[in-house]
Amino acid sequence: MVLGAIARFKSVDVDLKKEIDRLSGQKVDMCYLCGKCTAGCPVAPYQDIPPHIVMRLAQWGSSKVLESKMIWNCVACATCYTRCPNDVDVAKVCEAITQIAKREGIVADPVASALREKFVESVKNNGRVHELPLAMAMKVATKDYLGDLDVGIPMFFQGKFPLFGHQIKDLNNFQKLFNSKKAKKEGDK
Amino acid sequence: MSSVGVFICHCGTNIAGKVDVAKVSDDAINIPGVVYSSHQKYSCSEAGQKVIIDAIKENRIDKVVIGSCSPKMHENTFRKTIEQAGLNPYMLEIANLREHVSWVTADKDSATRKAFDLVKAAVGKVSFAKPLTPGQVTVEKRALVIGGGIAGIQAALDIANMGYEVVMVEKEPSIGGRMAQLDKTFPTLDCSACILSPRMVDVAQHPNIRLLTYSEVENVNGYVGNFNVTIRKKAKFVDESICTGCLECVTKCPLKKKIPNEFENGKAPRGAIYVPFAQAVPKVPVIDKEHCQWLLSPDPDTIEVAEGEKKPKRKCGVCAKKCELGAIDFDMQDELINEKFGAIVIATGFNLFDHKKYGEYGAGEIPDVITGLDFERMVNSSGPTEGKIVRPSNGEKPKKVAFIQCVGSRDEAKGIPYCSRICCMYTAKQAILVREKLPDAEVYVFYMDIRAGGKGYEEFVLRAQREYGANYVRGRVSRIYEQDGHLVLKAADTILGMPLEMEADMVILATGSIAREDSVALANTIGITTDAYGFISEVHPKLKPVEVPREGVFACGAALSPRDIPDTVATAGAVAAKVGVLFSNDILMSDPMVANVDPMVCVACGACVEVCPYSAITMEEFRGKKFAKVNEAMCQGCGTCSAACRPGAAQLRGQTDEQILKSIEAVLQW
Repeated sequence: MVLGAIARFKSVDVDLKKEIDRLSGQKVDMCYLCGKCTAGCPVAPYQDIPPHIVMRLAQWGSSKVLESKMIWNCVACATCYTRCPNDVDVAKVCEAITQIAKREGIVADPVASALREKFVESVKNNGRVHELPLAMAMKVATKDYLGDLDVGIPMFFQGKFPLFGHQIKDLNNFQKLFNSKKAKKEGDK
Repeated sequence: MSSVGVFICHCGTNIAGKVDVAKVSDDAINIPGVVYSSHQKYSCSEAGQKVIIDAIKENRIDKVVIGSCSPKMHENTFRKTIEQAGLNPYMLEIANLREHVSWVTADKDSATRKAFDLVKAAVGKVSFAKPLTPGQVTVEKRALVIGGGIAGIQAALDIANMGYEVVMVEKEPSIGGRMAQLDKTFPTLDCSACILSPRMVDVAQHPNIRLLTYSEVENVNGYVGNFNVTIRKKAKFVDESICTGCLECVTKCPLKKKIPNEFENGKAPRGAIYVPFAQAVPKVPVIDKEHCQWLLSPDPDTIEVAEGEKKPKRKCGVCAKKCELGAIDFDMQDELINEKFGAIVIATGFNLFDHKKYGEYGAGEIPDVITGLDFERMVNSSGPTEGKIVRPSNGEKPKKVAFIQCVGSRDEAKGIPYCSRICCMYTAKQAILVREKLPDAEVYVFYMDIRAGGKGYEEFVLRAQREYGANYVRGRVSRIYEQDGHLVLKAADTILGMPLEMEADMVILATGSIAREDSVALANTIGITTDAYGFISEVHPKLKPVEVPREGVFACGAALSPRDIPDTVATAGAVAAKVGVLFSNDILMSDPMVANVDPMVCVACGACVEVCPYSAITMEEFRGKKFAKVNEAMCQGCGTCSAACRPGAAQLRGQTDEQILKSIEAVLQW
């Protein structure tokens, strides 16, 4: 994503801003842009825009923020939230923006998006994650069959990718969570 | 039957926007006892008041109801108005149609109904009003100043120079306060001690000022013009009248390198007998009874030992042996002083935020991360390093110094959302001092916004950047950690929109100002309130900035809110002026709306004596009959006695049972 030299937005998009507030449970206007989130963020140095710029774009309600890679690559460590002087959970804000972006069909980082989907799928099927099928599903989804093999093969021999996964005890009950009306409603959105 | 006049005020659109004032006024004429009713745009204006005066005279009105804003706002105005019309000023009742109705009611119809109900109640109440006359109290023309920092010093000197007696109470062994700890002051860079010490000496030598150091206020009773104050003068164990301040005792104390000196923010030691700093006023040492070996060792007279065995001796006592004048007196006790004052000035100042709450900045465990106050002492030539700027960890000169602003300010997560006002400026000053003393050192200031609203302040910050080459980086530092003998700062330049990592040798945290830990206790002692952060609350932030809700008590300086030296001195002068105004009266009029006990009804049960929070009620005896009597000068009109009185003998004037019942009846009936 490139911000460009001139901000093209003429006024604050209140609807998008409110939707971010609603989904994240935060108030983006609480942020006074000190940059402490950016300063502590472990992934910010590798992203297109840093967290405090995500917050600033969210304050504008700018749809530019939906194109950001930062929102997808936030690892939700919540260092930003721990140290924020205004108690804003930036990780939740990023998560909320990904939900909106996905709905709008804008996926700036397909790998990160695919990982989330496959991860949730794996959890849905087993009640917990099964690493080997997850890794294989990721390979198929990203069509990158040979990448990361240098790490993956040693991990396999270390027993980090067990052939047979485990399921949790009361899987049926657990799966009800995914099939509940509320979950479906949110999913449809 | 009384003839009541009702005047409804529009207050522009404040009331008229929500309340149908014409309807209220028209309906009011039908209330029994009302002989006149009208409405007008601004009752408090001169024209509005004239309408009221004329109506009273023309219609032979003897009691007045005004439906307007809160009585806190204009009750006194309208009392004077009806007094001009020849009525007793207490024949007035205000129906609060603004704060209680129009500002808080959304629906116009219900607002109008509520307004009419309040007017009915007010008419009912005023019809039983009786004329009252204020009492008179004398004014004790002596002021008590609590706190001996620059605020207290300025207020005390100004009041004393008006010719009134002042007693200054200071908790520490010396006056001087926070300003005495500072090295230079912004934005002129003049030496803090050089401008403060002459004033400290002035206080000590002023014929009208009595200085009580190492003392605390324990209890405050009484009322404006006549406060009874109990002051605890803590035992110094050194006789002030004999001691010449040679300090021979201080140099010989065996503990002299053992106890952290509070004045040096704990960065330099003191002994158990000490003066906090060289320019201390009074220059009389005190013995710290928590550490002194003599005072901590048991008294041989109280120990019982088996016969033949020697009694253990007291430890140490070196100071007493060294003092040729015999000024040291280990038997000294705390002294309680009871005195009368006409006014009390609170000038207790502030504390600095404790950066231990910032885990990400090392929680006070990293030696090279220091606070602004530590730096003030370090850079001061009489401080722990004699003015050399060195890294506390190894004593070397730092090559790179980083300042972090807003540590314990503008941080809701740490419970302090306010701006401390002084940190931007003192950081700029300290950045200049580093560049002056260590021209080879780089200086970085991590800031979020620069608040430099003051005479010459913005220019000063720009000077730090342009002339002295301090580098300002916009962004709050997220973490500081030690690595290979350096500090690493994880920061961001928010203007570039990039995270950045920086090495530094020393970090100075601009800790914000907070209320003193004992400010709430002091406020409770005096009977006033503090805000959510513990600062003393003023009556009105704009129009009564140094008055507090208890009459005759004033506050100045950083006890009210964070502020710099110019503002502190200005408010101290303002307090002195207010005290001067109070003391220009020989006699004060007391509020007549106080409690009164009818001796014919009183059964002398004593319930009122027990509940009175001001100790204003005593039991009296007259011709063999006992009854309670209210000291009207001490009564604050709280009404607690009236609520406690079973036969209804204790009544609050202007709020009698009769009046309250009548106003309830009025709302329910008509």
